[in-house]
Amino acid sequence: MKVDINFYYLMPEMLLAFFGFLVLLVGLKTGRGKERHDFWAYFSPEMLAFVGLALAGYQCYIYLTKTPYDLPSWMAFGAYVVDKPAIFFKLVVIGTTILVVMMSGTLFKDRRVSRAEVYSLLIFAALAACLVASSNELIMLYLCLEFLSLASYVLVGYFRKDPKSGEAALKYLLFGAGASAVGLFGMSLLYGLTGTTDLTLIAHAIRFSGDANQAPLLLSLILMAAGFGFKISMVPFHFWAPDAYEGAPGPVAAFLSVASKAAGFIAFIRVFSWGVPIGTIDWVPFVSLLAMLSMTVGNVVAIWQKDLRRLLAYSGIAHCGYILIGVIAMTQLKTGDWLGVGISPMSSVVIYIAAYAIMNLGAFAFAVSIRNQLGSYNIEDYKGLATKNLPLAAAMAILLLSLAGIPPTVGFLGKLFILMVAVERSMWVLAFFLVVNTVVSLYYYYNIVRLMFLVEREDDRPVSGQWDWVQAAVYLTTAAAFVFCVWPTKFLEFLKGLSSRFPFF
Amino acid sequence: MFFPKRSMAAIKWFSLVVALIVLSLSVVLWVQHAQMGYPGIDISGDVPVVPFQEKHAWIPALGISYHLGADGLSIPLIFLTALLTAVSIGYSFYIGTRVKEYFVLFLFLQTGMTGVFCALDYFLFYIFWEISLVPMYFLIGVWGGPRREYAAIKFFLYTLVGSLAMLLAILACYFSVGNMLGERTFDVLTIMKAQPFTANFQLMSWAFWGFFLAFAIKVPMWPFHTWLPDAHVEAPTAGSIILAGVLLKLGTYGFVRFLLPTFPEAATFYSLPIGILAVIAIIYGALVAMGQWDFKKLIAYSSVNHMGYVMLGLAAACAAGRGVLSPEVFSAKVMATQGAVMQMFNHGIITGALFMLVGVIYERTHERDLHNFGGLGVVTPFYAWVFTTAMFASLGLPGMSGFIAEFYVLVGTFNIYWFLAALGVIGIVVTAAFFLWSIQRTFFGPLNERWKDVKDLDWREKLSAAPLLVFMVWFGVWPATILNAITPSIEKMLGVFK
Repeated sequence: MKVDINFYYLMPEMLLAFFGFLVLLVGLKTGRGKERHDFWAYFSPEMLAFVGLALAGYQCYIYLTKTPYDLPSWMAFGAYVVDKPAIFFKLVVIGTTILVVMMSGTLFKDRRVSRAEVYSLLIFAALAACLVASSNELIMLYLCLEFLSLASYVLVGYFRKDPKSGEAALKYLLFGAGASAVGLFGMSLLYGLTGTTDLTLIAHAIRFSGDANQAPLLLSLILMAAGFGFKISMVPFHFWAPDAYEGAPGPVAAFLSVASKAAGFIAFIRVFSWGVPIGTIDWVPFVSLLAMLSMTVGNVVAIWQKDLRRLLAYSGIAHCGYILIGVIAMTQLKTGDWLGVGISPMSSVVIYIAAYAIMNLGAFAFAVSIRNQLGSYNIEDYKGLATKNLPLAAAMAILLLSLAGIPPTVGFLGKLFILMVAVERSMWVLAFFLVVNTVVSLYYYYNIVRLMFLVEREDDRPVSGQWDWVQAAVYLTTAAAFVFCVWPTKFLEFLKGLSSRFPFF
Repeated sequence: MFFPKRSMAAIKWFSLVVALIVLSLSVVLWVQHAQMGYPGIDISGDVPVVPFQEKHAWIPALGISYHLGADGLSIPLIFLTALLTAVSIGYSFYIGTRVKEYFVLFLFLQTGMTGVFCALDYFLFYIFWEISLVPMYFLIGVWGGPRREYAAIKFFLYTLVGSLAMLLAILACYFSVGNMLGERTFDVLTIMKAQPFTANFQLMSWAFWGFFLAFAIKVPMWPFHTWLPDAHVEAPTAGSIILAGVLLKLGTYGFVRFLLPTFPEAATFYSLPIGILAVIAIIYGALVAMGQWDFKKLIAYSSVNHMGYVMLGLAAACAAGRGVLSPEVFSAKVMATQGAVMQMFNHGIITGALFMLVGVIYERTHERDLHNFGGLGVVTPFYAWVFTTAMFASLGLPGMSGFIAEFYVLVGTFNIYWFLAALGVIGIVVTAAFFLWSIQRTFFGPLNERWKDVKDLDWREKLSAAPLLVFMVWFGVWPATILNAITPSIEKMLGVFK
């Protein structure tokens, strides 16, 4: 039997797998906590991880610019598809992982653990997320999501001696296992009702199924929404997020907040938007309700948080709600005239996730940097930071502005596009929720700015501006947040007309 | 921003020089506009004719362009911004803490405000509108009075609510206007010409109220004015000058430039409610000001009162008459709008001067309570003279610019909504009352012994106050300078109501 795999379009995954193993093996020599000064020192796990991720990311970029004609590329009898949205998600995940690697350098100063395993796990998690992005088949989707989850569980609980880390990992594991089981049950229901696990064939089957199957199909979708909703921290499957982010090491929390969300979203979109043809099963009211709840609960509970990681976890729940508006928009028809260049809902979702990656990673990098100096993630310890280290505080202020969606930052652009697709389809209630929640979110983001700039500093410990990779990550993301709003044309050219719909239906 | 922190003097002088350069450029702009015969933005042809236009494509995929232009409505306001910023920076030399950040924020704020007045693309306009919020938040929050944090976040959140409502309305307009290729655009003039939603009045109302909310909060109109007293009182002096002098005008400019021409039917339909709200602002602002003992709060509420006149003029301008346009009604409308636009400029100058002068006395005595002042005319005669002049201008004494503006508004409105004009006159009486009382309580009467050694204005403060006084008198005695600048643009804008 001829193997139906197009190796060219599989390059990023192969590179990631190869480098994951390479980091692990070379790490036996170099990453063991003691410094080496010979030939092997050049191959530090960080460097190798960075090289591998950079190569994979560059390969994705080449797909988009130099060789887009063969996309979408179908492999493995339709189970694996490399199409434009998948490549974008892969780019986001790889970019995220690069930034997380940058942030992780300082994690190991006080701890005697093997560094290489963390980097190798990060690369494997990125690989898993990339695989999810391209999965077109239920079992493949489940396997890759579980792959990502397993890698994440280990990363969260990596520092065995720290009880908080262990508690967070256990909570994450138990919750995740439960959610995946429910999701798997939904998938099995779907298989039972349609007779196939390939999403394109499922869509076909649903289109031609009778009315009798509507309720069970909706039930299976709801169960799968639980499974995916856990990954994207959608209410009411979000309870793991604040504890996991708080217990995990900072860079790992950053990775969770972006990459596993991105993977969850692409899985959600594949099943709900591709697997279910428009007009057959109406999952929209259910998901809209969850989106509204996510936005509201996330923003309201974030107001009281004192730990920056928990605050970012709750704000991530709210952002998930905003992105869901874009996902829902994929099923709605445009009201008004049909012509028009503009933003398709898929593009708006991709842009928002990319923008969210930039902002959130920057915020986490800032948190990690402060923790390295002051040992705390408590926002009360950021008091008066502006007088001690103005560039860092200003960068964080810009990142917080971006999270709140104030121009001229990329966060504003993301929210604008989501609003645009919502308004275009007359989704007024959701647009109203987005707008009101933006105002609420500004309050707690600006609380941090207020503490940094407006309040006097009490303790005298220095907050150094010494250049290290973590601060570089902060400034890089801040620059990106600004630049992508002022000169977005290049960025938008790639995304023009990303179709939200399956090519054949 | 690139100056080292220690050279405070260098930072201050550099900022002042920059502000003065901008000021002279704005004067050049005005003069050039005069030489061109004061053209207004003309959208009646196929291609809009915009004086001083600058248009570059920015994000063509979405129809966003970097489009700037200035006409008689914006040039006086640009000049006002430049003048008040220069005056504020000149006044702010006393700031000792975190000097660099202060001036950086100030110059950013100037960028944002000037940009709002020039922008002709909704996306660009929204960006500039929001840009002006952030520096103001910091200026109030860092260098302000005792309740500054509360005032700053209140200001930011309140204004943001309006801005987001406006964003929704902008998007609604964006989606309802498309050219023949179905392309959308954010360009203001294109949307204005296409008159969105003419078929669907309900949708037009929603979009109208979206914009209205943003501008009404900024103006501020009653009942959205509650952020104003806190923000004005707690802001540092220069911050108050800019807040009252320019930021309030962003709202009224938005009305004149965007709201009225783009939604004429909704504007006509809702003109009476808006007029009533304006009159409530006039009377309420004046009455509440009369009850204030805190000097800054008194002037803040007088701002509410003055902006009520602007809104009254604008409400009259869009009143019913569409399709029944007799020449008298049209010229009354023009007159009302002229008054409104003039009041924008004059109020900026006058209230800017008032806040600066209150700042002077606050700096000297650290007191703002009117109970504690008295007889300052003896100790600081020059200051007393300047302050009295400014207060007379504010209450609308003939011969000063405030009178001309209020006169035009009231006469214009009288021909359209006579009862609103009659009620508006009450405001003038009350305003006169509280200003005269405050003059009496502060400068006349027995000298309060605590203030025996208060120093009079020094040369820097005199120099900052002088241009404002000059304009107060100049535009009161020879208003043609500004009337000629604004009238053609107003006539073009009101032409939409035909």
